[in-house]
Amino acid sequence: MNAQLSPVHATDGLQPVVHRRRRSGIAYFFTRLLTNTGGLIGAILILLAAVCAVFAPWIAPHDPTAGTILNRLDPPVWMKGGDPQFLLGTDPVGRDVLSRIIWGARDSLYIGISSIVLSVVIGVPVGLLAGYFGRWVDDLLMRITDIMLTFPFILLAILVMALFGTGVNKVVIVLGISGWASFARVVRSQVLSLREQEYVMAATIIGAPTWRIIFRHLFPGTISPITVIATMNIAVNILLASGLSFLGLGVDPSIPDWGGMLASGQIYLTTAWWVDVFPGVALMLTVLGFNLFGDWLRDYLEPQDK
Amino acid sequence: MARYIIKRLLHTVIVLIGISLIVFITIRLTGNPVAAMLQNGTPSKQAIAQLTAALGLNKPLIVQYWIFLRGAVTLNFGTSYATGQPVMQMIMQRMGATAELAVGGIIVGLVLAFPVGIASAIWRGTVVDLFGRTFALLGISFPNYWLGTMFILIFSVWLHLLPVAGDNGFVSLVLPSVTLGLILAGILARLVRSSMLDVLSAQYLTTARAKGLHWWRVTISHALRNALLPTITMIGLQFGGLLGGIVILEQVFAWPGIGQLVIKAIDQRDYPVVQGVVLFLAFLLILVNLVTDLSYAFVDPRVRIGGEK
Repeated sequence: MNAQLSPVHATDGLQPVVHRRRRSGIAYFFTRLLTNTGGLIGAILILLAAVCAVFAPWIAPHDPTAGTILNRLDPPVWMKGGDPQFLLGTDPVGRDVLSRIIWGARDSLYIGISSIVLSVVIGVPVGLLAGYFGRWVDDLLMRITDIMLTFPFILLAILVMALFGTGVNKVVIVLGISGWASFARVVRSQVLSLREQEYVMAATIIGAPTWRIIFRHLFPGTISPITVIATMNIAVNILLASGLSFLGLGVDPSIPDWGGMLASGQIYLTTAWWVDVFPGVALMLTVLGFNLFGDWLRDYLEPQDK
Repeated sequence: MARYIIKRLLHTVIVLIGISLIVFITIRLTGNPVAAMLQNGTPSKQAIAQLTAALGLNKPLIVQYWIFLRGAVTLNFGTSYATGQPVMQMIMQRMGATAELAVGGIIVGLVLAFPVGIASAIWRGTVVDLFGRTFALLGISFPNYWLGTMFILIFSVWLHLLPVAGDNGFVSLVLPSVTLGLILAGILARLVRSSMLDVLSAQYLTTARAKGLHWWRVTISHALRNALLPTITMIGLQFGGLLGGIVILEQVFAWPGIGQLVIKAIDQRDYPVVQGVVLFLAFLLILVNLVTDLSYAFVDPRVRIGGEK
């Protein structure tokens, strides 16, 4: 951004003092959220998925892993031949689709959130160091970041999962490691502009130690963009993780997982559409929730980008 | 300009070496692939040693990397363990189908994204905008493979309009292209909208309107031109995501492209093929990024000047 100098007028200092209250309280946050349709819908969808994930053992009507072949491919309750015991029908092994969807929320949220935490833990320090030290540190770190940004995530994920085998935590590690670069990028550019601020220069001049400048003065300024990107990227990672499961490269197939359910339902598409439709709806709504909430959060935290 | 190109090319070479290192190290981290390949039955130690030597896996790592790199530079990714065919030949046989799908997806994406994005920007805050933004949001929220499955369910299973899967000429291309295009359109429509909004309030547009130009003319020839550049760049940036989408969609639609090749190779633990496809796609991606960057610099002088510190 190129700052332009504006002419100084004699009256500049005489402007009436407007009380600009720092609007950052929790009450203000919720007032804003409750008055925005998109943000509110997003928050509700996330909350719904979170409640399913946390309380799955109490909410789910059936054991998600147990089923008998006798109840195989029962249609949803409102269709002919539907069993009121299984609201959304059963899968090819006779397991309750609804219960599996509720349990599946655990995997999706766990992978989405913890992979982003891992990305933040790697990416933020890289961005802080590159932005603060500049010169060769910046060059070196940003070249590595570029490589990560250029490398096709899904291919790296396919390669790694194919080589190391399936598993929830492996998915988290793969997605976490492939996703840190965007955080490094944003934190770096934020630090570059913050570094020139008077308060940071003042801290440097009075001889504050480097770590203190970085953590006390630079890091707080990067929190809002990090939060926004993290929310958006949770959505992306949930989609990627389910895509891997769909290819049979994600979580263990015995665990109830939305992507895995979609993969196993595909061959029954012509006869039992419910096995494939409902988990997809759950997945789509959760991702939509994070996208809606992320959009709102960006407007809330960084109104200048609106 | 020349300096910018040289710098950008040098940068590309560094990225290429970086990526080849990542792929090489990742594969070697799992140990000797031979033991995994011979999983069926219990192979004798001798059989493992023989195959290891035959595949050159007993040489020092640095030598292996050198051989690997030398091959990769000439697009020689070795031969398949499973078929004995050169990997590059296998890739080329299937590249056509994948390219068709990619082009189809990009066309559908552009055709949808521009009208939606432009309409959203012009009628900002109205029902049209709400509709456009919802479309874009759904585009980025749908799992592509699930959307593809739903299309198969609706158009093939229920309505019998289009073939379920496989490659039977143009009709087979419709569903996968539309699926791919819808997701891309979601991302692009948001961008078209925001870049149009950026310029719609600019002073030169007010001037154009004041001159008495028709509003349609102002929008198309003045504002749209500005929205075009970031959109093209975005397609370049989204190319990686597009490739990922293609790999998955090829499974859904049984489309005989490189996505199917790589998934089958993973099943058979045919590492040269997996490694070759991943590297090949990465090269392709870097090439697309390079071309996007250079063309951008060519059109917009600020980029090449800003590029030189």
